[in-house]
Amino acid sequence: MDRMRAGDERAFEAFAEQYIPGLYRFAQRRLADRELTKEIVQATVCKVIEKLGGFRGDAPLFTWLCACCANEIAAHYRRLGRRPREVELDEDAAETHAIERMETAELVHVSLDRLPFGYARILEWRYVEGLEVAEIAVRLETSYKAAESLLSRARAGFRGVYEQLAGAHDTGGPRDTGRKEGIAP
Amino acid sequence: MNDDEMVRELLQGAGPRRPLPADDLVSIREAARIEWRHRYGRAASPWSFRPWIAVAAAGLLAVAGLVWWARARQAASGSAVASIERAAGVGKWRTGDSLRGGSEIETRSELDGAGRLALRMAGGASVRLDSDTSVRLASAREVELDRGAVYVDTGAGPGRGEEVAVRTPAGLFVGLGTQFEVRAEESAGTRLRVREGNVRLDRGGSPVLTGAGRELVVRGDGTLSEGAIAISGPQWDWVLATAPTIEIEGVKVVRFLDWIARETGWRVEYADEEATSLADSVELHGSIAGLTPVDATGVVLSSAGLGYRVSDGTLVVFVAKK
Repeated sequence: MDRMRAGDERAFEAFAEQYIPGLYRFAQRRLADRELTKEIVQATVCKVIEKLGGFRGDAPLFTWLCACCANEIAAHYRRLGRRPREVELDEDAAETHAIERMETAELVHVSLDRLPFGYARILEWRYVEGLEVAEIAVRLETSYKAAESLLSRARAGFRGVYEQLAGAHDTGGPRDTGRKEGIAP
Repeated sequence: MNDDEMVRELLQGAGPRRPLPADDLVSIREAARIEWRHRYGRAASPWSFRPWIAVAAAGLLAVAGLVWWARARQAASGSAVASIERAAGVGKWRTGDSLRGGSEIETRSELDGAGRLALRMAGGASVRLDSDTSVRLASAREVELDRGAVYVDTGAGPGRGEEVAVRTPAGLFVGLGTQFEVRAEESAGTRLRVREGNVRLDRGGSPVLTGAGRELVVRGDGTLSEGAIAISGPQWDWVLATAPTIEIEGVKVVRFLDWIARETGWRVEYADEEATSLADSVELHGSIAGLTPVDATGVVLSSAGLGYRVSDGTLVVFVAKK
């Protein structure tokens, strides 16, 4: 974030690459209309950039971005003078109900959405596209050992998020598994 | 079960996530980039050299060569009615291919059915074919649509192309100074959507005229229904995705925005006099070959010291903060 504020173009590119797709998925799950999703995410990202100095680092950056996006969605409905049906409930309750209705495949996809971009990407390369660790290392322009280590952290992160969601799915409320690596809203 | 086994089982069972719309992500990224540059970036000179411009210019020269060669070949044969201006995911066709009267074209991609084509008719109109479309080029002024969707844009102003009609089992859709889409689906019937001008449906008896911002559906039993439509938005994305690139060398920003407005259906508004004046005075150099229209908008406007936002189908252009 400091590098972005200092005008480092590569820092901006890394930020955009890492967070915009995840934020789009976050908004997509809450909004039915594609055009509106784009507008909300665009407005969120622009406001976040405007307020970069306000990010204190107490929470992960993606968590902060999602909170800003949720505010933007709420503001949109306030401007329209109404709120979408699912937001009439409080956010946590609405999310819990949504999770309860999800099939396993959707839970897996939501878990991936909540992981840091690099974690989700490496897991999809390995387990959906079937790449070998050596091939991933080439794609990431890193060593075999570093790719293996990243994959291991990504798996642990995924497991943590998935078990938490699956706990909410089974019990009607989030279950704290004590493994929070990579967890974002 | 260890992490590797568990994650493998779950991810393979779930399959890939739904892909995100690339145009939207590019658009968001460009808007973010402009905002970031306003606040923290080092402002780039509008005319600073960028390596991609040289690469793109070389690409443009190659494309121009191909188009020249295709046109020369057309003139020699005397029977070509169109050429391919842009081919995406349709292995059989290449940019610059010449098409004779009677040519039958299918856009189903061998891999995923997502192939699309943009044709330039001999009379100058742009005709685009969506994925999974089957047509026959009856002549330079008539396309027979069997399945899928055709979009016709005759252009605007004095250089406008000749009208192109689309023949379907539901009747003949004749363009009258237009941008329109005809989509034929076995289950839903034939649907006309008009973006600009008017389209006349001839099917025996009284012709039916449909104007801009309206749609006309001809059901299987021949009954008609009409309704209002948006002239911009996601339902037109496939048209935008097949838009042929324009040359911007020496073109003023305002002309570039005219093209963007035509391709996207957006209305262009200027935030103030200064933005209007800048758009009307700055000349562009380089090329936007290889960029999507939305991507090109961000690149061109930021190079000219302008920013933009899109809201409710309107592209608002403003002067970028220094």
